Amino acid sequence: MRVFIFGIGGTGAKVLRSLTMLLASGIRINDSSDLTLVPIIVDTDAHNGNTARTRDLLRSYYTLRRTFVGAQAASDAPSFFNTQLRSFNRLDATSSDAADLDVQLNFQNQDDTFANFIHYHGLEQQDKDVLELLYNDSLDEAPELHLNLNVGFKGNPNIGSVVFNDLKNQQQFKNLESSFTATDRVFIISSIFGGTGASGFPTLVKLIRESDNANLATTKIGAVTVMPYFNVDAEETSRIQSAIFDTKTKSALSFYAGDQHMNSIQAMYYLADKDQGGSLRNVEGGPDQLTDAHLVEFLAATAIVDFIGKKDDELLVPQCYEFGAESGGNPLTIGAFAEHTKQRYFRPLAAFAYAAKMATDLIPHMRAEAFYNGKELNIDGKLGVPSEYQKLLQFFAEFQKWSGTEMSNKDNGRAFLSFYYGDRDHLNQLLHGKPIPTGFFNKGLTQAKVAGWLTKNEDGLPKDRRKTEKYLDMLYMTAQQCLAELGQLP
Amino acid sequence: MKTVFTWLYELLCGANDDLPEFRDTIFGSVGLASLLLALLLAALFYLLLGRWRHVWYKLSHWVVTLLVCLVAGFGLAFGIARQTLGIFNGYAMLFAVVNGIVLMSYFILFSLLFKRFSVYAKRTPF
Repeated sequence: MRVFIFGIGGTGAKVLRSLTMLLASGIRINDSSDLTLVPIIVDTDAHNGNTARTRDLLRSYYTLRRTFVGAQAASDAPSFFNTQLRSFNRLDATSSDAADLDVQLNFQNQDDTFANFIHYHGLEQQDKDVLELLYNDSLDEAPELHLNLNVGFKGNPNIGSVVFNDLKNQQQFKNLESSFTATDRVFIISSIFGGTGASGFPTLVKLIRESDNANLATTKIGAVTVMPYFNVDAEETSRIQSAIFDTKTKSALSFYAGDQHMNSIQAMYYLADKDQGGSLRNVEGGPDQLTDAHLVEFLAATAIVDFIGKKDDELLVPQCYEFGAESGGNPLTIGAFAEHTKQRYFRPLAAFAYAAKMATDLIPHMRAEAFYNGKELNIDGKLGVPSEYQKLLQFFAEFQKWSGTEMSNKDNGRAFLSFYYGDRDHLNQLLHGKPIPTGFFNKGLTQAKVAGWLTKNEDGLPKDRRKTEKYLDMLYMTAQQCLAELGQLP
Repeated sequence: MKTVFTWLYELLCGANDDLPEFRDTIFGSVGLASLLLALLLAALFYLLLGRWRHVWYKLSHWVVTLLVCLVAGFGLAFGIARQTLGIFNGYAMLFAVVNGIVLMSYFILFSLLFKRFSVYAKRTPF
């Protein structure tokens, strides 16, 4: 089973980032061993900071899975990085061992202005006049007609819908269209209150439903559309204004409600968060648009997992879904979520958090342990693959930043406290709201206790496995023991 | 067995024709006891503690165990020689020191043999 996941615009990329973290944590999405996700970032702002960060993270995931899990490993295996990813432009079975993961859909003419894109200068005067009625033609103040597309649509869905319509003529989209099979599915991530996502989402649904490939035209579509969940600093000159987020949302929702194709989406997930106290830096696009992760983006990623986990017969009739926590509060903690959410999503994340802490902070100080030795895992020699080992540590560090620092940012509006990585010599306080009890005889998850588990787990692994696979398995098994010691989530 | 130990100790300490008890009794009993003690300590280090608990497995632990071997080897030879002879002379002192070193050597050899069966100490001392 393959699922094509389109992440449209900045929010799309950020939700894909959260999804990548979930996949890295070893979440078992469904019972399919050959489940393959095909992430596709759709954004004309190719150099956008959020987009570039997600692109790099997905590529890291791909490389790490090949090195530490094995390219042929099953997607439902009990392991970190278990789910298989594949490039959208290398979909044939023989190219599963591709060196890198290509995730970004290229727009032709993306460096042009909108006027050039629609061949404005070659139009008859009367057509130009109509266009000037529809689009602001000034060069300086809030340009629309002369907007350079390489910074996205700057919150203008009226431009985005025109540009996205051209996707059907792009070779990459045609390739994707032709290789789509009956068992494949599509999931689309977008925000509704900006430009790229709001316009790209309905246009993409239209292209899919009107495809010449019947498999694609009739495929099961899932989508999450994120409604306002943060504010940006008010700047008079900026095209992005929090004050009109709600207006744009209402406008888009009313369009979605009346659109035949949008109503054919089998699983439509809506997310919003009204508690928006903070304010993020107002950047219209480009490399500087790099914002902290947000809880709502993570919850949007869980919608993807939920959709893929649904059986075909659960998707016969279009349905809408919303997400609710058991209690509110700001900051929010894991304890605020329902038991199902904790078990399905936060438990794997907690295991990965333990592994990240062990790999980055504890293991480098365990030189006396057997597994550290050059004849075992050769930690000093970076497992014999210095580049990939470094990449794994960077991934763990990125996860710690994503979960521990970024999502707890008060400027997000709704801060989320999940994991705390500050302690140097134990893991007793890793989960917010659930310290591991200690006493005179039991010091909890100390470095020595964890070292013992790591050593024993490594010793029990088959001798003929690659060092890299043994290293990740050792971490996975030990993280499960940490979870068992923790007991119930808060 | 007794012949082997006699040969070993006379090689390291020299023969003592004035005190035939060394050749007749002491070398054999001390040699066997030392061998068994080294075996016991190595089994304790690698097979019992080394597999059971993550408490005594580091190089520093191994060095301490080695020093225990030295002291135990010395004490064993000292005790048996004194009990058998009723006196403790310079030759007996030399024998006790040599036995400490011999017991250490046995422990090192058993370490090489047993470490592969250990979990926590399988790379101790190297």
